[in-house]
Amino acid sequence: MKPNESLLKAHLESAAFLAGVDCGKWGVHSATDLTFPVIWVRGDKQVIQAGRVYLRFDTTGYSQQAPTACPWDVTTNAKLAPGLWPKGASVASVFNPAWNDNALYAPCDRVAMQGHDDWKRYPQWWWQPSFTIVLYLEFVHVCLNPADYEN
Amino acid sequence: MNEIELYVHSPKGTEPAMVRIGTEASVEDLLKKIHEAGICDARSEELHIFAEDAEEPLNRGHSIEHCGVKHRHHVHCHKCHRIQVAVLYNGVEKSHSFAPSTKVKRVLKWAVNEFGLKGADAENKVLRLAEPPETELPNEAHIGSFAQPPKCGLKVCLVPPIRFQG
Repeated sequence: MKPNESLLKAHLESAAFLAGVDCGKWGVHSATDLTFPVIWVRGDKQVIQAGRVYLRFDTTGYSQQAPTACPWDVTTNAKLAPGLWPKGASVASVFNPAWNDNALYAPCDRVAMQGHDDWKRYPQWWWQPSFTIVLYLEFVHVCLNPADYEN
Repeated sequence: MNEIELYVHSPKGTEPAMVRIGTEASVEDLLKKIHEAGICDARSEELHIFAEDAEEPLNRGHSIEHCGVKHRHHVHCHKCHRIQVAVLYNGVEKSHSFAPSTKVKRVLKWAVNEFGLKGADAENKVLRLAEPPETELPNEAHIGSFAQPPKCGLKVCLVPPIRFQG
């Protein structure tokens, strides 16, 4: 097992990740290849009709490097068609296939971080090697559930 | 003795730690275990432990089972009995005290109601620490995770969430 894979495996077994699984915030769909796992995140149905988004991660270099991920169609095992990406004011900038359909426009996404040093002023979300996959999932969950406090 | 796993939150961060304990063990035993694991820094006799969203701490003499705490429930261990939360919105400050195990979304709901926000004004608001690092408080986190003893309070702003634009 590669170092990024053994570290990710440990983080997928951590209390922080399992707490999210137990309350239905996210879950593993497929982790047979730990460099490219598919993990779903629950979303408000007004944002994503299916109620969840599957993300295919690329964890190369994790966690020295941030992960990157794109919405995934688990029935066809391919990138999700742009028309099916989450929609709405809270997600439009993060889920933006017109910018790049291989990544999320997020300060904890390896691809989006390039050229966005100004995002460092948000240390909560700007990826650090001490962070885990849970931080990325939490960021996505917040985006997909803008009015969660009403539930 | 049946053993269960508990998610233990503390002032050390928003991510819980996991503790395994028998259901017949007392709350006192749980506090000692939490202290020994380094999850909370104070001496166990100085600590309180709360069930998630409960107003009062668990009785130290009662068993885990008696308290209704079950497998993979969330509890919060904190030196403070109450957290005084001051919320700033449009230059006005309102405050209220909450148990450390109160979820941020309950505090947010209180703030939205307290400031009389309705409709579009009430939507899409978050609580953010008023001082650096100006952390945005996740709705599922416990408010006690942001109050570092000996301080039993925090100041937050009621604001729209950050939008990451190009």
